[in-house]
Amino acid sequence: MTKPLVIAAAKGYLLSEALGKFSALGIEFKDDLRTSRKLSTEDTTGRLVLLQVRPWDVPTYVENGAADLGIAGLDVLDEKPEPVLRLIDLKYGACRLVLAGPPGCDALSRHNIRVATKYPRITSAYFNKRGIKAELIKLYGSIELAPITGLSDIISDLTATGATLKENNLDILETLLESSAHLITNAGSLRWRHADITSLTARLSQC
Amino acid sequence: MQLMKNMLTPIGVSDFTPDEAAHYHRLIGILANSFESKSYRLVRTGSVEYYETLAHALPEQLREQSLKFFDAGGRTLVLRPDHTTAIARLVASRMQNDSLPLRLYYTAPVFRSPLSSDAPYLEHMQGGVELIGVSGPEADAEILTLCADALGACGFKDFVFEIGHCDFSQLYTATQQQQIHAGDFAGLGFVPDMLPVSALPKDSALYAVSQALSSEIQAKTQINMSLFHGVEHYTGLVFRCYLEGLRFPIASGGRYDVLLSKFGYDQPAVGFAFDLAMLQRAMEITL
Repeated sequence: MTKPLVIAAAKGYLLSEALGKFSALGIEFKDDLRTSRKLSTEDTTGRLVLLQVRPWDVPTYVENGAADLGIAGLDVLDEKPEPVLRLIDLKYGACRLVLAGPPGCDALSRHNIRVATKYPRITSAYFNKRGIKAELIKLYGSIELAPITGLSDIISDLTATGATLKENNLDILETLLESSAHLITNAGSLRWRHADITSLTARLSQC
Repeated sequence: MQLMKNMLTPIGVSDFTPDEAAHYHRLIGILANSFESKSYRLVRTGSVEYYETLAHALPEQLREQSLKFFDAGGRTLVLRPDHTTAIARLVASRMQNDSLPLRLYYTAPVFRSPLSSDAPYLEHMQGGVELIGVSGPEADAEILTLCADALGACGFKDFVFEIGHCDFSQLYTATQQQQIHAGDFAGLGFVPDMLPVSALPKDSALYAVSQALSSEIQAKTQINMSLFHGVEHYTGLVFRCYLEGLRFPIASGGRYDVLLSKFGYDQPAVGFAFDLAMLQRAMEITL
């Protein structure tokens, strides 16, 4: 029997959406990873194994071949340097990476600005392209606090509805990236499991 | 055991203890025998070259990855970044009177600064061949067969050739080519096909190559419709060879009909190289 295809999915809301998609294709997993303490489960046919990993670790699992497929947001894929192959846009988990600052903020017209972000790679690529010198401050959460406390002039952060930005009195200045969940693979898995991967990709793109 | 800081070596280079060196030497011996049995002859180029001598003929990525430094007179030197380019220089400068075709092989390292997306190797041990002065499908097939025979001599039976052609690029728009290069099949809208040799149209260049292969090698060969951009200097056939289940190619090569003319000797050529570190590791694991 052939080995199962291993899928690494970002835990959190992307995982629920992914399980819904699989369910629509008639693929059911033995354990519900959202409620169980288990971190992996296989489907009832034994042809798929699902891993629950941190969103930022999905490209790492896939690029190193520990997983054949992965489900992660475009924000993570663009930020992480791992060269993975993007199979399809799963068209859920929509959100935007935006620059935001206090009302009336003129930071973008200045030459030397401080930007707090979880996404230094995408953000510095944007400023490099615009020829603006920006000092990036890497944070791991609560990015909205940075301008309020004077840590930075503006922030670059992910937003779905804009509600958190608004509650922290920040206006959106610019959109850097429109993100949604993507199915990814690595060149080795695609090489050796081409038929399995392309057929699952085709089924997922139709539901 | 305490490891003193000043005993570290850079990431991406390897020492061999006597056992490891003996193993490596045995591998080189197997490849040399295999190549020499088909009339390929050993060449060696210097480990250090003048950068400007090679730079105009190097693919852009290798120019960036070259390890450059200065000699006492201020001239830029480079640690040999590529065998094919260095051998093209050697052939054009000292072997223009030799009768063609030339069948040459080498087993020596190349030096490249690791890309962030790459395995962190600085010194790549390579063993490969160049068939110079002959074009046509038989020459391409000879190179694929040589690669298969060498793998057979190392004890491997399960491997696959993925072949492509520079002309495949014409199937795609410039944007699509970039998307394929970046692995963005979501943007492209489809995953490029992997086809059996039997799917090749009879009037295609690769069909002629496949017809010159033994049926055994034909059965191990697949057409990769996204394989057209391996290295800049390729002008026709492009191929990679994978051992069963491995993620990275054990060998890669192709036809480069323009490279020698950059050194003033207009001759077609085709060749390939093994990644010897990977080959050695695969032999330790699987054989």
